[in-house]
Amino acid sequence: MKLITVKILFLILICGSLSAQSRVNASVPIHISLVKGLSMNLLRSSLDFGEIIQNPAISKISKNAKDGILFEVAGNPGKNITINYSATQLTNSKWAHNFGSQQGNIDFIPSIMISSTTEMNNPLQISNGSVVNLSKENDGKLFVSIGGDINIASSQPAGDYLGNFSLTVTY
Amino acid sequence: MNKLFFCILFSILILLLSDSLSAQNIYITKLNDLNFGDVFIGYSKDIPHTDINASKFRFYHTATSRKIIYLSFILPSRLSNGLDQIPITFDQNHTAWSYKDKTSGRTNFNPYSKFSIKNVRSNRMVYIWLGANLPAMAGVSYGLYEGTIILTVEY
Repeated sequence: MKLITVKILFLILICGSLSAQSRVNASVPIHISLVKGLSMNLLRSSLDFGEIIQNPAISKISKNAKDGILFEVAGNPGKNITINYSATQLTNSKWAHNFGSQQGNIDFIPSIMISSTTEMNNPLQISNGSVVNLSKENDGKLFVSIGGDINIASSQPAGDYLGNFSLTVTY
Repeated sequence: MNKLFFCILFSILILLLSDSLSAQNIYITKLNDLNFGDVFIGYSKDIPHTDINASKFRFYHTATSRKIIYLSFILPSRLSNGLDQIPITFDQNHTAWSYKDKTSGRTNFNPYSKFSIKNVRSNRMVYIWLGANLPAMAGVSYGLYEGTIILTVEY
């Protein structure tokens, strides 16, 4: 009888210690996408329509984007970027002020091309807000050139017309 | 008489072993990965435990009595993209637990040492959050860096 009681107590103690243990693992992954920042390098800085002699027969002057302003955009290969720009107006206000002449404005209608080479081979025309992929094959580099049209009225005041054009590139 | 004793003994054994015989009596659910998202090379990024991108676990136990629950983590010190490695740091300020799934009222604890939560009753949910800090690193390659956190819950 005593032996059975001792055995029971012994088993209770063992079972008590067995039931006290429980252990579970869970794992969670960590994700970080390390991204190269965007940079823009101006390779060709001006878009010059040259000297235009007013002629009623000529109202629209165009400059090919390949001959215009050229930017190199560098970013994370494989990432998409959005290219934004806006139409701008050229003004002769400074020139008119200096020479006491009539002030005038000319609308500049931009034309934007993109390519994977500085020579703008196989160019692709884009519109404002276009989403473009930075090619892995080109190490995330993209070349953006800016040309455009200006419309000259027959009564356009003479002078040097200047304006600033803004291009924004974002991830 | 002996038969009676053995019947009693068998019943006690069944009762006491019920916890250990069941396949599992702590249940963990991973609710969220630790996701830093996009980080620019050369910039640091901090994910506090209150951030929606912090890792999040939930667990409960089904033992019959209240338990002291022990928590421990295996944490990576570096993450890899297969080419380069970047350091990652965890600390008490980025780690917390609570009985409630809320940003307020959490208790911080050190993820590098074993931590205990006392008197956790059966089926009571416990939430764990773990954020981290990524120091600024220059000269590393871009890409997806990954690592794994392992949480152990035991009593």
